[in-house]
Amino acid sequence: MLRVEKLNFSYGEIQVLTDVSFQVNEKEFVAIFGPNGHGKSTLLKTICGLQSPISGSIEYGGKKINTLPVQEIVEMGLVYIAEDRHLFPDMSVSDNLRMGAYNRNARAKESENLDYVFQLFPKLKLLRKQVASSLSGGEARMLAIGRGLMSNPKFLAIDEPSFGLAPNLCLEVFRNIEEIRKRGASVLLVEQSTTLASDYADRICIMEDGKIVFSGTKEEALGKKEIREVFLGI
Amino acid sequence: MDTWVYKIPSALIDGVTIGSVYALMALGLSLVFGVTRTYNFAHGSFYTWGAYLMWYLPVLLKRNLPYPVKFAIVVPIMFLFGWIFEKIVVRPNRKSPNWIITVLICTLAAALIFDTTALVVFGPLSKAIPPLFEGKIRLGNFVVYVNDLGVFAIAMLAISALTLFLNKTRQGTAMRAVAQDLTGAKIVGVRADKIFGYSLGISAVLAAIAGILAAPKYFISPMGGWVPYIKSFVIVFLGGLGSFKGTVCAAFILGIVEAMVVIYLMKAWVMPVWFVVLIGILILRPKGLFGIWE
Amino acid sequence: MGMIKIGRIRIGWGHAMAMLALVLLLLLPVLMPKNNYLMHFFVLFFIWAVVAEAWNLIMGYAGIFTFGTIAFFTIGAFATGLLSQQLGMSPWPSILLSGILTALVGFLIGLPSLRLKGAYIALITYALHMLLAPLIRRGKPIGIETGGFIWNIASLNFLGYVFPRNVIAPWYYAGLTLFVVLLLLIYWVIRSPIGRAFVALRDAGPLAQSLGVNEYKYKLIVFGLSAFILGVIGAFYAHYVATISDRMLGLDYFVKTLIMVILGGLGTFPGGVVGAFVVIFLYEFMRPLMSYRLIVLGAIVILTVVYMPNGLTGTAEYIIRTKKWKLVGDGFLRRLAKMKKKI
Repeated sequence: MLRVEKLNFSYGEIQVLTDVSFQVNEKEFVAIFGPNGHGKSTLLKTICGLQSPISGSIEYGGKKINTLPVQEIVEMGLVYIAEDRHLFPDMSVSDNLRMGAYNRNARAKESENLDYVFQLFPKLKLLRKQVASSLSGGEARMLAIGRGLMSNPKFLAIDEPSFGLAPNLCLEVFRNIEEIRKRGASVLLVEQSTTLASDYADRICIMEDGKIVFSGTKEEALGKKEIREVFLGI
Repeated sequence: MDTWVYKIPSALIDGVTIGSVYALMALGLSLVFGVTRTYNFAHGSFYTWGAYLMWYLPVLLKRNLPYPVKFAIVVPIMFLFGWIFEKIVVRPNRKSPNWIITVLICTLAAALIFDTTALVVFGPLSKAIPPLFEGKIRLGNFVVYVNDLGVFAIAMLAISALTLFLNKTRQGTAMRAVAQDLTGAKIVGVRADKIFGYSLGISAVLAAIAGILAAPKYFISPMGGWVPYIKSFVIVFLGGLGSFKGTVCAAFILGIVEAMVVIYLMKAWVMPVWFVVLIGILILRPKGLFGIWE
Repeated sequence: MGMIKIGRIRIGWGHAMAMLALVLLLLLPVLMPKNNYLMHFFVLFFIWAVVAEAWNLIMGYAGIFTFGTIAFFTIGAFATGLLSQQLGMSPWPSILLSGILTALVGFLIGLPSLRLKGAYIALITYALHMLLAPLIRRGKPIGIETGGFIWNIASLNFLGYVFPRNVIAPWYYAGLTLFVVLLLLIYWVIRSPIGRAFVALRDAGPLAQSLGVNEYKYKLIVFGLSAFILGVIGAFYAHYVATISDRMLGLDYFVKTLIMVILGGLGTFPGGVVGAFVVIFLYEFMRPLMSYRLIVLGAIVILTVVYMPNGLTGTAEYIIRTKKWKLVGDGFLRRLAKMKKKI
């Protein structure tokens, strides 16, 4: 579904991504772990079209998307949920969600998806008239995920969904991701802590210094001594 | 003999009328700033050119048309003007690191080009267009000009249309989204480039309508857009950057203040008063009345 | 490029070229004594070069986006006009006092506004500029004639010799002197710790601020200083042209000066000088076009800002420094090819 090959990216003189290659197959859930500041967020942003890579290729559904901007990539079903959320502060929760359905593929299914989001996140339904800037961190995170779902994703790229969330909320978020996967979506997730995500993921990758240093299942990770230390230490 | 009391209603009517026109102009500026985060220094030229086009149509077609028809022709032209302007003058600069300054300079240069073109094409003498509505209404000792009422009505109509557009339509909501979080808007698929173009187009229309509404009383001249432009700047700052209703409130407040100054003091004091208001705002309350930014 | 060392003084290419230019300028009237037109051109050049450099100092180095340049220039001009006509002050002290008065205005405006964000100072100076014209037109009470004019401003005199109005040579040398003195002043500021602080702020803003660089104080000093310079040169202008009006505040003067700064290169040292020369030259050259000249100049600004953001001087410095002679041409051709593809 998603294939990344030898991706390179730099901020001016600083190389952030070096020859990153991996793939996510259909209906797969891949989690990328790694310490902070080693390029995980940048990787997602580059894949999803917010930044252009210096070199390398990104293929989604067989099409090359390196040069496409995020606005067009969303239409293809690859939905990005940012760590910074980027919600619309002066709009209500429901307006934010409705804006999620802006892209052409999502418009037809707007009400259907809205019902689904409210089903997954009942709290959002309660807060639906509240202005986004007044939400708590956890609620905002839920809204960001909900809005992403409104974009009718076939592939979800999520940046640190559980950051700053209380453990029970984290669990809820991952359970919901499972639900979405059951509907046929693929998931690529980037996380700092391995605790929950590694239980739900099919495969994991570990990123250090802008390079992928390991790719495989959780068992394989625990099996290799060096990787296990990094893995458990994260 | 307390005649100054009798002047109050006059001042109010004049103030509200001119306030509504200022509101249009200021909303255009506010919209562009909110959506694109740039200051368009050619906004005054839109004001001027809208009025010039209105004047020019009967000349070109060699016969006069009713105002609604002329509006129907000029508005789309001005929208296109603003949209093309965004593509040629604003867009190329967005990629440069200090785009705020470069856009400012480019729009300023563009304003020079537009104003000089107006000077060359239409000549330096002021032009006038007939009032949009004729007649007066007598209420006891006061006279109310129907034109003033009409100007107010049209301005309020335009403001309502804008409000409706921004709140109820998909593109309008997308525009608000871009203003509130550009990255967020891109993430949900909004074509930011198109939205920028629309915002400039709409602001051009608003400025043009303001220019047209003001033209019968205040005439049209090549540099005539600069004073309304700077007034709309003060209004936007008083209302608070980023606040729609703040801009509208500030426009009416300052319109009334201006009318009071004209009636009770001298016309000469108008600009100094605006300047003092501006300095006052910046010193006392840089956020403005309902400010969201800064 | 190499530098020569004479004792402890280093003379680089730039310095050498400047000194050569200075010698040529000094000799010009001697070589072409009857060419009033050429000397007039240069007097204007001296004046506007200083204005452009002062604006460059404020905007390009101190990073203060100001519209007040022409306003201060005008204030200086009118100050000396009134001082010499109404109070009978003799020209040179009048020029100096005008500079000081203008600096005072600059301080008064800068005091509240420089604390706020950039946009605010731009707005205030813009308002100042816009308000000056109507104010001047109503200056009858203080001696400004109707329509905002001051006529017949006294000519300069030097040790008793009154400068004639039909021989430009003395004006030329006076202008050249002011040009050199004021430019040296600006150069000194740029090279001083204050100037270096500004370059640091410009290139690495937040870091420099955290190191305790007192931005506000420095900005205020430079703002006041540039107001002084503008006041002085504006006063000189007034004595030179003898008649001033509020037309000085017109959009065409404003944009012409802005173009000089931009074209020359914002933030580069002789940028204002280069830009002034080019613009004045072009303006004369395009004389047959009359009002259309402004349209052409406006277009030049836009093109310069988009394609040559560092102006002529900046781009020249870049080429010389990196020796990328060919690359400039290549870059241009590549852009052309890209544009063709889009169409």
